[in-house]
Amino acid sequence: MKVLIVDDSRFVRKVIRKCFDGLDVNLREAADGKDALENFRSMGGCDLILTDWNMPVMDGLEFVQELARDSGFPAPKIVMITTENEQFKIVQAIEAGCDDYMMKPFQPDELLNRLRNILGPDHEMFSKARA
Amino acid sequence: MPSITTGELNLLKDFLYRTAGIDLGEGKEYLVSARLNEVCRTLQISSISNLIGQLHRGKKAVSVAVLEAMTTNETSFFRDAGPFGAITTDILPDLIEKNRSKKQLNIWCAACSTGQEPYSLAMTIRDRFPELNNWRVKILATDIAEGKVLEKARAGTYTQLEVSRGLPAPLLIKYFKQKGRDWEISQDIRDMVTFKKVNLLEIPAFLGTFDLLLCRNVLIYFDNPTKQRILGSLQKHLCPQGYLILGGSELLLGLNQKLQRYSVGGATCYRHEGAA
Repeated sequence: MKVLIVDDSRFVRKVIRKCFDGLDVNLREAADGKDALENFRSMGGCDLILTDWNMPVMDGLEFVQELARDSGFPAPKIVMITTENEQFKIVQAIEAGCDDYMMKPFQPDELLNRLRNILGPDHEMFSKARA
Repeated sequence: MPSITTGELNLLKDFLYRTAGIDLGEGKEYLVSARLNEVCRTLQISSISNLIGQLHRGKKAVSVAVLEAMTTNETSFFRDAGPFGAITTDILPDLIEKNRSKKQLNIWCAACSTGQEPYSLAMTIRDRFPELNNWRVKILATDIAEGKVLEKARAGTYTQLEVSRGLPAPLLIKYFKQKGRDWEISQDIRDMVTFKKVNLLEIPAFLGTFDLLLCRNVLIYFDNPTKQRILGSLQKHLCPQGYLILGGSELLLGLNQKLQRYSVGGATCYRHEGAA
């Protein structure tokens, strides 16, 4: 299970990374949308992306739109994690291809619940704890 | 924070057991004080002692507020993936098959608190089961707490924090409208749910029977004889082929011989003997 965490805040990336403690995942981090696209290609695509919206160089929405255009890899599940809370922004993100949308700050349990929902409760990530 | 004396706590325990069958148990003084202080603030009563005094004298507004404060429980949209997954993948498809000729589906959320559970069911039905659009689907949502709790449920308006817990964003934008800092559920979803005050110790016989009955995280507050009594009533309101879903940690363990435990789609539910 390959996961890409995209946020310009190292602290937020660390908080998100911590949510996966004990789960069988291969985590990669990126600091903006452009960096994330490069990482996504160099890791041969991934299964799950957790991305911020507001970032320098390329924002999260552009990144998701870019992926949807033609990434050359199977479509990953995408969750936008942001402080933006207006309805039209959520609509924009879902229409761009996000599978879910979370407001910051968030509880780790809430993120895992949402992942169970979009990946399925029986997904191998939850059943196979890292040895 | 002002705390509660042993005598006051005993009066409160007696009130809760008499009116709602709730067994407060031991060691809850801090929680009780916190909740009663909140009631004092709302009703502008100077102290917990005064509040308990008014409760003891049977003042209606006080008893409603205290009951509400002591029974308002944790809830969120789509709380617990297990039961909602099972309802979507197994239970509703089975009930649709069984009720196809009468095109009718009756659901009861027996402790709906502020409405997130029945609205989650209504959204699931609208979103995943379009064939039910021309059926008579009734979702009855009841709670013992009247006043603020059921008012909020009926209004269908939730804060940003409440919609951020458990509600997938695609459903949020499909079935809610942002109103200032809050989110209001659509009229269509609201119309699918009827809210009523029902005390599980005195379930009215005219409530009818239900294909799917959810009574989650409620029985934990009752002692065994009361649990037995409530389960006996719930069982009478469950259709012969119906499903009863309790909270994850609530087990019948000999409290009702007529209901059998089944594992359905990864969740635990109870059905009449021989229903499967």
